[in-house]
Amino acid sequence: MKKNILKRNITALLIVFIAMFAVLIVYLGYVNVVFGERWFATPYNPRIQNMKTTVRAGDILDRTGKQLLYTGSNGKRKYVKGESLRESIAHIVGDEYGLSYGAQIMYAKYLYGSDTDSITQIAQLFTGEERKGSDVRLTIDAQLCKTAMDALGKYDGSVVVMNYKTGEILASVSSPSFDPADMKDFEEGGGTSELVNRAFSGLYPPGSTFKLITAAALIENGKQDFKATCTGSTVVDGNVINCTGEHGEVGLKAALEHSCNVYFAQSAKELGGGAIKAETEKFLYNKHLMFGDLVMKDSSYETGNSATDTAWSAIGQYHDLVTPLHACMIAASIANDGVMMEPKLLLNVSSDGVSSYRMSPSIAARPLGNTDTLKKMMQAVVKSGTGTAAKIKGVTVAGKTGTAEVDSAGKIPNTAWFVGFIEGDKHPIAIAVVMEKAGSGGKMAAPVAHKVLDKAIDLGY
Amino acid sequence: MVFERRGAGALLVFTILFLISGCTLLAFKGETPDIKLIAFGLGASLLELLVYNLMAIIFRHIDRITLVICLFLVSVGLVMLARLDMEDAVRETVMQQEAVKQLIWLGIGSVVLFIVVAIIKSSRDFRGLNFIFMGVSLGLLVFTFLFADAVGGAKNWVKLGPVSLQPSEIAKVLFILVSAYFFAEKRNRAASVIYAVYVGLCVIVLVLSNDLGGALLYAGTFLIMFFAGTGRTLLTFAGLGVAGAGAFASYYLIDHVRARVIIWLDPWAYYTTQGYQIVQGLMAIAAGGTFGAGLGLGRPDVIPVNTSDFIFAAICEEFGIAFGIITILLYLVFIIRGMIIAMNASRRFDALLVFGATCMLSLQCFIIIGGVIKLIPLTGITLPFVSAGGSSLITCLCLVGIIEGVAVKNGERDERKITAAGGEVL
Repeated sequence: MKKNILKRNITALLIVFIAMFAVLIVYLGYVNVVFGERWFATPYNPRIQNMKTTVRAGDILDRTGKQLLYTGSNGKRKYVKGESLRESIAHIVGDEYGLSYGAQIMYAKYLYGSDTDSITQIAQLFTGEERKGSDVRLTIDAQLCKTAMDALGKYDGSVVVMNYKTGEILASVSSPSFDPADMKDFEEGGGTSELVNRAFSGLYPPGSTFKLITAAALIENGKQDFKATCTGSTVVDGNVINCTGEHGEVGLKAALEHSCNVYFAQSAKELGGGAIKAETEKFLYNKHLMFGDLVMKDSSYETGNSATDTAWSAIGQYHDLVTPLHACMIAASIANDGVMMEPKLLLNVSSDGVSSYRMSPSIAARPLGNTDTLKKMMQAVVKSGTGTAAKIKGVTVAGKTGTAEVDSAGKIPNTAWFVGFIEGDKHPIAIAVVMEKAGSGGKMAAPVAHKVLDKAIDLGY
Repeated sequence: MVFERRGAGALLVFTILFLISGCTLLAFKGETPDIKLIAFGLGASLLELLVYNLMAIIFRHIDRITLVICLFLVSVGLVMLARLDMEDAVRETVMQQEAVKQLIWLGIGSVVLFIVVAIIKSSRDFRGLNFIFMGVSLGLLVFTFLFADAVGGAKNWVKLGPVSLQPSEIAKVLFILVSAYFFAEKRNRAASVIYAVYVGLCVIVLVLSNDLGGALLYAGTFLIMFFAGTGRTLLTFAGLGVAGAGAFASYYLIDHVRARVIIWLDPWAYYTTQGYQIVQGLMAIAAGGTFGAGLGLGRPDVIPVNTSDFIFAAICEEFGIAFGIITILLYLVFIIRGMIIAMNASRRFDALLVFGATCMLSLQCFIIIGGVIKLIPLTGITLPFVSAGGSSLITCLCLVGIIEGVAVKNGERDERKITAAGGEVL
């Protein structure tokens, strides 16, 4: 071995080390920018609880300016009056103990003023002036939230209402709920199901609402003229898939209107699992749903290994899972001509009337180029199909119902779904309704959507 | 050309300023100023100045930048430890404080540093001691495996009276000596087999002790030295393949390894159990942001093992990510200096010795920082020079002693050449 070879090898390894350390530096900078706020604003962070003792926290307001949580004259934090109103905004606002993942955790940085520059912070330290956090105004309307909560009634589930042009979340409720002003039950480690925000983190089988994506796949792949004959059931690889009725020979429009399982199960064979999967991913299934304003679970889609699995997956069963918020975003993207907006929850941040942040819409994905056909079919669903209960006088409602099986044995009642939107620029609102153990989507969820959309129109959205 | 001394002085001044201002800032945090902390800062500064100047006077040709970077990194550790001591009620008496212990270790380590430099500077290749080194290092690892207490899932602490020692740390130095000797000359088959068995046993014992960071470090250093020493690229990649296969197999065979990987993929899902450490670390880094919360103004006390494995997260929280990046850059400068000294060495043994020592420190640095910032799965090892712990600090200083010893050798050789040519070295 010659010595100059050793030198060459050492140089080569030095370059490797320089590269490794460069990766370290770049990664450290990258995670700080991309994940920094997300990592900081978690219920687990003891620093947030710590900030409360030294800072007079800012208020949380709804989009109309109603104070949902504020610091009273005695320095104590107070929630809005009315227990049922508090329950309908509980998951979005969160509790002060950080047990639920709401605005109090997510926007802690603003509420406790750590977003102000360090010079101001140090100055406040020396002048002895009480440190004050900024006020946070959310995109939700508390009144609309209450209507949605009341409409759900005794059922567990969720309602999400969005402006499909801007992505602003106008209402988001999750039932069962809790009263953030009275957390005694939870401090002692009581039930936690109430604390989960089903709207953002509840994963449900989408059932027939998934047929919108299968339909989009048929249209995108030039197979919108595909026809099937429904005799009340179909056999895929020896397994029977039942339908809601006997629809005879149906095309795409009629199949969607009447939510024909046979048609969509057979279209899965026509399309192939790969095409359906590709379509779901355009709508951000199987993708990391990471948005600046909120934390939500990711939705998932699998084609499975057999033709039966794929057929079930094409009608929103098998392993398909989606959150109510994502379901609403999908409906919204169809309404918004194929452009999916990022969900927004933070309208603005201000301190003593000086605004430091203002919401600006941004695009999350562009799943479709043209949605006219799909929109017309969804209008038919509400006009004369399974979703007639969602009809509203004076506006055109489009939608899709779903009745998702939770267990194949049929012991647990089905989950009722409705996703839809109001056509036209005047009321650009999309909605998703999920009701656990409620049964038929058309009978149970569509009327809830009707009530909530009607109220939203009343409120001028 | 060789006597590069620029920059070292400025960095030393900065180090001393950092130490004194850091400790003074901490001293004024409470209601009444804490004189002890100011004294601590001054004492540490004096010790570091003494070490630097004595080294520069006794061994004229040390690489000053390398030494000053070490002192700076130790100082960052001292300030951080003093800051963490303030939060912990258990560390009430002076002798219980991590910072004070670390300063004492620095004192002991400095003596070791002098001795190692003196030995290396006048040594050949420890030919006769090679087998003893092998036996002792392996013995230390086996001893640890058999008798050590488990800390954080890994068995690597041995209690000797009032002090806890990590024998696997000391074994590192011997491992480098053995490896450098083996690769320095062409070896016959018997020697190769013995060496291969030795390396294999070291790694296996470490894996069995659940000291995954240590196993990774030994295996990685071996592979790097193998490549540098033999230049056999294909075999090196084959070795990487074997290491990869071993890692893959251990993923299925050892629960501890699988747990580490699963936590790495999504630590938040295991927040309440095994993901707790890393999540707390990530939150601390995020809380600090670019410029940090400020010394004494963050909450690094809530990070688990904040004095050793996770000290980088504590540093990032209070001094900021920008400072964290500067720290990484300083390690990089340290590596580059080490590699240059290796390339300047006259003899293969010296070159490989310095190269091995540098690689071990840089690999260790990469493994722990990468683990804390979730770039790679976390394996608990200390951050060289910064983390609290006598064994770790003394081992690091031994490795620096090796590097500096060869640097002195190089310098004296160059000086002889210059004098022979009629020149003069100032």
